[in-house]
Amino acid sequence: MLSPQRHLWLNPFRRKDPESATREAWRNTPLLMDIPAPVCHKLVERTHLRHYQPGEYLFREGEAGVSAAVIISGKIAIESGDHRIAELGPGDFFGEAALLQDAPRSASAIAEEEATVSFLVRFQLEEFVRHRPGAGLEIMTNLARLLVARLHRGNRSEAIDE
Amino acid sequence: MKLWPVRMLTGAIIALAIGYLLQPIWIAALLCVLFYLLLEPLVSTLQAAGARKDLAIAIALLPPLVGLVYGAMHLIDSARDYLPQLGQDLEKLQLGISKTLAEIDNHLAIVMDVRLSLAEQVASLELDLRGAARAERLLASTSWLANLLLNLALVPPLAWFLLRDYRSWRDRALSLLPNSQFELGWLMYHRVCARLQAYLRGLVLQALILSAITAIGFQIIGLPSPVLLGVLTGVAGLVPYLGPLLAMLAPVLMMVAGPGLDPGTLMEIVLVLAVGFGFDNAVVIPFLLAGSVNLHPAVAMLAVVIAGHVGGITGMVLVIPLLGMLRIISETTWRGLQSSG
Repeated sequence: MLSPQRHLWLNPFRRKDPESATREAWRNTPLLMDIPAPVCHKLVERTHLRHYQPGEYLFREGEAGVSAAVIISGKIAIESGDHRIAELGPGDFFGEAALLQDAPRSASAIAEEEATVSFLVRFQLEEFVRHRPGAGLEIMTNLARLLVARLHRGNRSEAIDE
Repeated sequence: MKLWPVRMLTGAIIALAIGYLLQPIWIAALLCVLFYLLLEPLVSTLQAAGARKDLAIAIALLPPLVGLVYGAMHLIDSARDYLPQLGQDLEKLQLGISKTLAEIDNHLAIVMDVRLSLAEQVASLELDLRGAARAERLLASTSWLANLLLNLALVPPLAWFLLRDYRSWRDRALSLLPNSQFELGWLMYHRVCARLQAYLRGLVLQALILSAITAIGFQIIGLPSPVLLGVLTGVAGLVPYLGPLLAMLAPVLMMVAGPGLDPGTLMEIVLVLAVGFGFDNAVVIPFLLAGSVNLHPAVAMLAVVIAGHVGGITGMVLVIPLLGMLRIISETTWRGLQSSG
């Protein structure tokens, strides 16, 4: 049990470590659900943190995608053609279909404000799975569940539209 | 202003500069890359089985390094034993060439009534093979041997670091790409690596199979040192299109310098090489190498001739995978530029 005076010992000026923020963001994604923390850390070490200016494209519709991403800070708009499909914020996970195949991106992602995004590249995930087949199987199962859930959601919304 | 041509040009200049700087240790660099491409899957498998990375690298590196050290020791021993009699052998080779050419002249005169005077024409070129073995040239070849040994000594540490740290170097290098080219860069890297790895593994297997077939053939027809000749044939077979011709050189010269070359032995050598290269073209290349580079034969032939002129045998061996690499890079860049509008 923590003491009620704990707040006295907290440093309000301490800045959050970007690496731990990235680790936390990835651990909370459906991809790494129920994966042990040390394994998550090993995988997150291989991700790439990139910074975007407002209006800068993360990727464009039709481009070949090779990575999934988690937003660490800022807002990202997802657009298809002229339509805005979604607006994503910190902790949101997207682009996971590119972790499985070389298909073109189905929508564009644009930074609405200054944003920091962490990318996991498919080829690095494949290397990781080869090195740790046990954890790899769990990650790939999570990925399959995630894609199936998105497929069901897509089917349901199509049925409602009809 | 479009920045990508400037970036590509800068990349090409940097690659050329690195190539120029690595010139004195190109053998070590080439062997290390070959070791990496061949051993990396084994290291991954050992790691997946639970071995620590350092241990997995040590287990994977040990057998080829022992082979390399054994080969280097054998090379030094052979060179030490052979150098004193090199002059005599070259003189013998010169006499053998004149004798063989005179025999071919006689044969042509009797059978086809044609007089080419090959022996006189070669004599008029004043070939002085003994002169090639003069002291200063021997010294030059000794420094070449020392450079080769230095290169071989560099292979174990470089291969170790490459197997251990290559991925982190690669990640750092690719993270330098601008946001707009980040995914395209990874895609290009992956495609180039996959093709190159498949091609180089195929080449090594091709050389091993060709060496084995021709070594057995040379043993059957009774040539001296059949294993050495087989290995030389396997290496010559790596040179596209000109491989069979280069492969003829070693056994023919060995016979000319030794017991003499008669038409029957020449036919037997041609037969062994025909069987080896026939199997290579009919079975090994279609199964192991087909489609891995996918270049038009005319382009490949021209490239091999030009690379041979510029970079010798090494250039001839390397030009096809390098061209394949350039093709993938340009195709991926072009598609990426088109899709990003």
